[in-house]
Formats: sequence, structure tokens, C-alpha cells
Amino acid sequence: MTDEEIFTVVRRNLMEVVPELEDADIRLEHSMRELGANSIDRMDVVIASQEDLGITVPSSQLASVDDIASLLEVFGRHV
Amino acid sequence: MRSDGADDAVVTGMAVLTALGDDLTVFGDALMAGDSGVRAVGRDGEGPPVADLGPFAPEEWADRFSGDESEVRALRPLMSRVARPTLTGASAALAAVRHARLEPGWGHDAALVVAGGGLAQRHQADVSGAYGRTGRLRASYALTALDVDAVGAISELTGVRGEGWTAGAASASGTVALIQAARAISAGWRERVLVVAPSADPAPADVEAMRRAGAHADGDPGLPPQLLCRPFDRRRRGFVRGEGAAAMVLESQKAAERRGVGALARISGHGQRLDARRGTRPEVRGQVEAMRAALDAAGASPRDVDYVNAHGTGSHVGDRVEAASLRAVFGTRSGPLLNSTKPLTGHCLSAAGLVEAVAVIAQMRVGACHPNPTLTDPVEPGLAWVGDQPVPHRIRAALSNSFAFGGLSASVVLRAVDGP
Repeated sequence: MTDEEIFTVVRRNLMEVVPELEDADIRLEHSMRELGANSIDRMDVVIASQEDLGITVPSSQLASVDDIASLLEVFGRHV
Repeated sequence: MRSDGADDAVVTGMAVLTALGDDLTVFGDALMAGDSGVRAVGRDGEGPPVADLGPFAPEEWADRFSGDESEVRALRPLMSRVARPTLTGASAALAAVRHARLEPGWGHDAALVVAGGGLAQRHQADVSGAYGRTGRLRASYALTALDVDAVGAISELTGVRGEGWTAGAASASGTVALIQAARAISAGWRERVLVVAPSADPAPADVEAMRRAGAHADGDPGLPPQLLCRPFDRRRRGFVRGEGAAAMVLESQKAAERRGVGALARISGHGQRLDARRGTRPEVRGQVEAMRAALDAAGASPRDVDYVNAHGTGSHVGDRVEAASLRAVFGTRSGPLLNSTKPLTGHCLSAAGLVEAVAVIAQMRVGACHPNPTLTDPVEPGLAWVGDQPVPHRIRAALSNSFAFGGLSASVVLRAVDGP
């Protein structure tokens, strides 16, 4: 699975959880917090994306994630 | 509560979202026309007949319930995050706050009382079902499954920070929440309370259980859906469900005067009783005592009551017992006019009491009682039922009843502000 495909999954879940977001708003350098996702929203996005990707990432590995690029990087190690 | 009314709570803003309309004027006009919101199938395309708020696209929903762009922007983030009751409750709350013309910052010391318990039953059933089938589950279900998510969301949207909680009393929740709000003001605990009754959203199993318990209508191929809910009529078949939300801003008389706003009505007295018996069967004693307690607290005699908004669901046993209770309290000669709003809105379950309090004030302000088009052959012909036509009527004092499974009875007395 390519980074772009993983990004597509994350973007779709982010827009589902944060309906006020437009597709074009979401860029790699953004943090989800900047995009209007609070802590419980971020959990929803991360969990739903893992379910879609068929992976399970230990939460310890997600602790250092600070933007969408680093989230994709962590997910990429598991797909 | 003092009988001179000096420390009564007054209503300074209100809102409803029902199948009859989401605007007070439209709602009031529909009541007077005797329109029924009941349709053959609900928003899921299935029966039994229901008066629901219909299917909605999130954007259209926010726009329809609020012409105000700032409110639409405030509601939009809730769309995919919360269960439907939180969304309808938040919409009604914003509309009531707007109607009360409150200034920014008003909510700092105000209280929020949300009516209902187990509001999001359909959400719970849907999520649990999907989890069982697929294992998928949002972390936020830890929040959205809770009634208190409505408290958090409405607090965020309205800026109420004083205190907040839910008042659960099944079908009496709306009236019980209104009573708790009025008490907080009468006791001097709060100057302002926002009372919100989100729409109840039962799952199919919840509705079917109410049918099997003999409360919900069975359906009748010989009756169009609009005529299926028949409170106090000999041909009644059980209640028909409504989906509705309501909200009210209550203030102390002094607080309302200080900011120079007129009141819509006064909460003049209230009474609550338990039957001390678990079950679904209502009892005359608890209902009579609740009504008498409300009248005593209001310093009113039964003769002072111009109008009663009955709980009147259309259930076989419930209506028979309530009619007997009404006869015990008011007698049969020259008593108040009586009707039930449920044939028009459907039975809004936990929200019913607050939806009907709005309906009482709407009738007070129009100076007429709305018709009950399905009441053609009343169970107690000696009582002064409003039939299939509206009746011009000056309402200075009104009593509104709500009764619930568990043996709960709650009654509230509302007075017109220009009344004696």
C-alpha cells in the first residue's frame, strides 16, 4: 500500500469525524488538532483508519505523532 | 413556593422542533388547525405510524432549524459526532436562547437541565449491532452513548457554566425537568435555567416492547395514520410516537425585569407523586395528589383552572385512569376545557412534557384551545373536552400533566403573565 493510499484512508476518516473540513484543507504538515479534531475525535480517526487498513498499532508508537505526515509514517510501518 | 407568585419562575424564551414545525408560529398555527404530524411510516421507511422529524441531510438540518449563520456554524460540528437527541436538543436550545434575547455571557452562572434518560437508544442499538457484526467502534461512543453528552454539547453551544445535569423520569421527564428548573429559581439557587428536552430516539425493540406492553398503538387498517392517536376516545388503540424536542429559558421575575424583557408565562405551581409501586399501570391516587399539590402550590382552586393539557396518550388504561383522576379533581360541571396535544405531535416520550408546556403557552397567547380531531366519542362525556374544532377561550391558569411508567405523576400550573 502506498503512502498516498494510506493518506486517502486517513483523510476520509478525518472528514467523516470532522464534517466541517473540506478535502483540500487537509495537508501532510497539518496536525489533526489544527484541523479542528479534539482528543476524542483524533482517537476516532486513528482507530477507524487502523480498522480500514487492517492494522493494529500499539498506542506507544502513536504518542510521538504530531502531524499527519508522521501518522502516515507510523501506519506505513504496519501495512 | 409562595402563593403570591413573587418568587415564581417566568418563561422568557422557548422553542420546539416537532413534526408540526420547528418555528413557534408555524407550530401554533398547526395546533389551531388540528393538523397531525403522524405519517404511515417513519424516517427509516418502516412502520408503525409515527410523527417524526423526517430524514435529514446534516447541512439542510442546521439551515432549516436556524436561519442564523452563526448557529448553523455552531451546529455543524455536531452533525457526525453526536447522537440525534443531542443534535435536536442543541438546536432547540439555541432557538430558545435566541428567543429569550439573552446577552452574551448570560450563561456564566445559569443552570442547564436536560430532560430524559436513555435518550439515544437507537444510537446504542445501531452501534452495538455494528460492533457485534464487524468489531468496528468509535472511541467517542464512550461519550455519545451517554445522556450527558447532550449536557456537554448544549453547554458548549450556549455558554451555560453554572451547573448541568439530566432529569430522567421516562414520559414525565419534560415536566419533571421543568419543575426542577422552576424550583432552582424559586429557591434562589439560580437566576436563570435553560431547560432542554432533546427528542427521544427509541430503537425498534424499544418501540415494539411498548406495543407488547399494551401502550403503543397496534395500528388499524380502518383508520388513516393521522387519526390513529385518539386520546380519551372510545376507539383509542394506544399511543402513536412523536419525535420532538423543546427548550425553555426560565428566569426569576427580577432577573427578567432587570434586563427589561417581558415574560411569556409564569410557572406558578407544581406537584409530583410516586405510586410506591413498580410497573406500567397508572393509578388515580398518585395523579390526583400530583394535580392537587400543583394547585395548592399555585394558590389556585380547581375552579381557577381554565384549561388542562392532559397527559392523554391514547392508551387504553392510561386514558381511562387519567379521565377518572380529572373528574376527581375538577368534577364534571363547568370544569376547565381539556385536550391532549399528542394526537397532533405524537407522544414525544421524554420530551412530551416540555413540548406540551410550549403548546400550553401557545394556546394561552392565542386565546384558544386547539382541537382534538380524533376525539369523537369521549370516555367521560361529562368532562369539557375540546373536540374537532378549536375553542376560543381565555386561559389565565392552565394545568399540564405528565405521567410515566414506574408510577410517576407530575403536574405543573402555568399562568398567563397578564392574568390575575
